[in-house]
Amino acid sequence: MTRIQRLMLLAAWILITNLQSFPREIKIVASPDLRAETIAAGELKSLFLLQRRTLRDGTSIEPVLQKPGAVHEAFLKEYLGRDGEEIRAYYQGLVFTGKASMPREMSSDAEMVAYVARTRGAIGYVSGGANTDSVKVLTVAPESFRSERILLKRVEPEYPKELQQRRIAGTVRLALTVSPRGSVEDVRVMGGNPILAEAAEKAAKEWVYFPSATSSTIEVSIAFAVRP
Amino acid sequence: MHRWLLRCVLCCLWAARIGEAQEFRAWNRTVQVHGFLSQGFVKTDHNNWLTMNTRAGSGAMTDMGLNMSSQLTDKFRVGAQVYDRNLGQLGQWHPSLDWAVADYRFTNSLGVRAGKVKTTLGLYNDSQDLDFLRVFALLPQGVYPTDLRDTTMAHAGADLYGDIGVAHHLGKIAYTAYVGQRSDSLYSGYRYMVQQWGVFFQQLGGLQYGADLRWNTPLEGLLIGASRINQALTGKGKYVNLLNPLAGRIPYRTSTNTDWANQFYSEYLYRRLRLDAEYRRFYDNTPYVPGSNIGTDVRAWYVMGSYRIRKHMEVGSYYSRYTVRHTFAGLASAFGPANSDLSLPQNHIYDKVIAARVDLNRFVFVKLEGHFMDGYGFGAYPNGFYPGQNPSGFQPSTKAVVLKTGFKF
Repeated sequence: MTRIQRLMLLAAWILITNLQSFPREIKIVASPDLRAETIAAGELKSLFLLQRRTLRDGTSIEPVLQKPGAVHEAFLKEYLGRDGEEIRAYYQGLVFTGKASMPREMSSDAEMVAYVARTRGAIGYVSGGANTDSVKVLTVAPESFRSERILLKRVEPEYPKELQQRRIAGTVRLALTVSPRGSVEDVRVMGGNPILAEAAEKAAKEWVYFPSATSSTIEVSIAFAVRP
Repeated sequence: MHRWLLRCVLCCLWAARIGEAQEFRAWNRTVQVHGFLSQGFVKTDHNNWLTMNTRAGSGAMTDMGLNMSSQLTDKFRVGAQVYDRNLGQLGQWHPSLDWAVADYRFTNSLGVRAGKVKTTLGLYNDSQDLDFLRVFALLPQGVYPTDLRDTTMAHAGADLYGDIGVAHHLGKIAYTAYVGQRSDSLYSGYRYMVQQWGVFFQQLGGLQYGADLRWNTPLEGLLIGASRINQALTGKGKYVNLLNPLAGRIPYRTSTNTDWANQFYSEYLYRRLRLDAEYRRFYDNTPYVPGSNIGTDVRAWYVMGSYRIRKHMEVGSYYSRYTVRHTFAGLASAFGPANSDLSLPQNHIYDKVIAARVDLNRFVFVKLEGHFMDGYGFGAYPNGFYPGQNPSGFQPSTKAVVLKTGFKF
């Protein structure tokens, strides 16, 4: 084998081992006896990191993993922000210091669904195409829809002169999507004068919030008042 | 060569097979079984290190652990682990009960662990034996000296622990508070060191209590924490007066309750990158023989980084600084006046480390690590370098290479 062939073989190997086909969608499945229909992203993460053992309503939870594979990696990446190697070391650190037991592992979507269906308080995950008739599929909600994050930088909107002169005032309601790092990633106008809303939207994009573990959706109202 | 390769492959396959079989049913409960085994080889250029004959190259670096645990109810879990090691003159294949706990979690914010519990101190105290969790074969020895692992590793008592959310999405606080009786191994570096002064401990330990607070900050992946431990030490054994050895061994007892350590740390995880930094100050004032006190003030810190360049390959590096100051009182003044010049090699160890790790499969790993040490830090407190292994004196610097392999399941 020539040097070039060896290099090509090496390059192909690197390419193949780096390409992982993640399923497009992951469903969070739960035991049918669970009262909750939705779960906050942060709560789901805490449960799978074994930092919490119960939901906010007090229900005891058993997190269940899939064995290493595309579904497992996709779940970890999307909801825990870690990959398979890291999470395995994390669990082993807890297991070998006596602080937790290793979560149960399932071999396939079908096995996961069957286990979750018959186990009180179990929460797991399957690929989007899996048959989930016998279990509850939970909606994962952004961390909060309330304005609980601290605003660090507020830029006041520019009151359009024309509206000021015509003494047109009003309040604009916006829904801001704030990233974990605190920047406003998206602004959705929920109500108000369209011209005022445009000014409010432009200003809100400059706002900066205190960082948080997850992204948040925050409702804000901005008032435009005519000075006497 | 081919036979050696074949053996390696068979070993990996065998380890993988063992690794999959890790639970059984007993009394209608699932019992998990996990274990690890590792074997190291160390070669140094100058000083012998960690009580091994490393100048000639030493493979006397083996450790293993086996644990069983079972989740009995939603909130109640029990488990135990046996640990054994042979590190040069330390451990000497005497197995010990590493931990044995009954753990009841009342709520997310309150749990109790009782029994023999691993002590939470800094980022890695409770997991310092578990090198398979990291790229490094040896943690920064100034903060986590492997020859002194027993002095902080576990306590027979109870922990209160829990997680509390901070308002306004400002992250979470995890707390641990503990109290218990520590029982130091008779095969540890501390006992080994004091033997050279004629003290032969038959029992060593004491009460310890402390707390740890760690804040999972709102910035994803950033953790900041602080730990405090207070320790008492009571030792019983025999003493030979080295100035009058003909008098033979006489009963000996020492007691102190002035030892403490503070630790401050930070960890940042971003994708495949891990950054750690930690500072530790330890103070000890021990009356080794009646009327003879040695005060030891250790300050150590490190910065560490590791990056997984491929799924099964990780590289890392750290820089650590360790300094030790002594004060001598009474008969201990015979050791000489206190020398607090930290630039002297006997008062510091500055260690630069590079390491690489390859995981052959989920269960088997191989590591290679290089240490470039300035100083040997041996005063009246052990930290890897012992006169017993270096009878002709110490050299001011040491380079070391550590090769380690092992498996875990």
